Amino acid sequence: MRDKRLIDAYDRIDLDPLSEERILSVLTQAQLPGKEPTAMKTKKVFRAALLAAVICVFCAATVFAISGIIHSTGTYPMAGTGEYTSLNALPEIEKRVGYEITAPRAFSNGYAFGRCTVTGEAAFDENNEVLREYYGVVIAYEKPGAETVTLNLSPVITLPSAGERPAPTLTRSVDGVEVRYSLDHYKLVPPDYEKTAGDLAAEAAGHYYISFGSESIEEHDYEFASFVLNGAEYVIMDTNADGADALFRMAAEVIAAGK
Amino acid sequence: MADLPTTGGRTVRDVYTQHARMLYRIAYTYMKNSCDSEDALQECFLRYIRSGVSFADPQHEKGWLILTLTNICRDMLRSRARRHDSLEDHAELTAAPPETDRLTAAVLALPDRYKAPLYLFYYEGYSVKEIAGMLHQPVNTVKTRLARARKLLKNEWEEQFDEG
Repeated sequence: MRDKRLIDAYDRIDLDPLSEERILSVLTQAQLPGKEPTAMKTKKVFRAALLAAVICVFCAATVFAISGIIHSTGTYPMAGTGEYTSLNALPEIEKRVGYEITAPRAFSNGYAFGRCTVTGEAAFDENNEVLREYYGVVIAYEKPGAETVTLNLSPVITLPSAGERPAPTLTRSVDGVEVRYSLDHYKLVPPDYEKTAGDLAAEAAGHYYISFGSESIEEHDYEFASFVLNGAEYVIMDTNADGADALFRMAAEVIAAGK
Repeated sequence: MADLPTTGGRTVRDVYTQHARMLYRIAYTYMKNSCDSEDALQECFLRYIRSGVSFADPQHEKGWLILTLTNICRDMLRSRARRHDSLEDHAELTAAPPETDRLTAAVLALPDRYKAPLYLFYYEGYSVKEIAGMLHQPVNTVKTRLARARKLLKNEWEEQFDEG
């Protein structure tokens, strides 16, 4: 037996360093005392773990609103997750995820389709038992000189709920669809970070979140616009301080395309 | 990144650093794509953290990780089957590792029961007895599976050697 050939064959299978970072970040959070099960998991969004954690927190909150005894949401290992580089794959993705997807090729403010990721997710009860598995979709839109804007989709979950949705900063009706806009401040902190009195007060005031797992303290503002369209929950996430009007316009373009 | 907290006297980072590549390769032979293999690896270590299990020795720990990982992979594959998914329908999701040759493809195509023993024997260099202990299988079962895996790979091997 000539083992060298087999060793070479296995050597070609190797773990991506960025994926390792993401996994280690998730494992770090998983060991934090008092953390809820959702915090153990992050969405795989273009391998940007911290950004992913922010989306996870926001999406979990949106699911709370619709559901009942769902305690948390997070990533879940499922077959068929991965990245697509063309919107031509949308029919195939819709077949896989089981709900309709409306995704413009470009928005009028210049953000254009970059890529699309299908993620595995689940809703968990308070004992961390899976209540429902489902597919999420994250579509990235890019513009020169700007951070990527993502359009995040998940099915509307009708399970009973135990939580309340955070109040939006603004709400508008767009073509008959309620669009909720939030401007939230996120503080990304190392695993051993201890919340200050200022943190606790800001959290109590709302729209202020602490996400554990970064190497150093980073603070960012995130804007979200969320709405339900054709059985799916849409969340537009923007870190470019484009403002509420810009996000409402982007939401309007998705809604117009989906009606 | 700060060191991960301690579990059972060793940090999870230590355990991860020691075993992640091995576990990822085993996962890849089951899942055949990087995204699912990464998910399986992550889930394996999450279960390791949650389990709180203590191990008699490093070999016991390694065996536990391999068994847990292969169970996760099988669950994921069953879940895939329940959905009647066909990976062939999703070429972008099933990209083989770069420079995949016919032997790698043949290894990936082996029946699942042969994958972990084959990898542990030929790549990691464990004895049949050690593998039997790790996978909780009789020694003769491991021997049989290795022999059958070799037989299945034989044609591919010979072709490669002829070309080489």
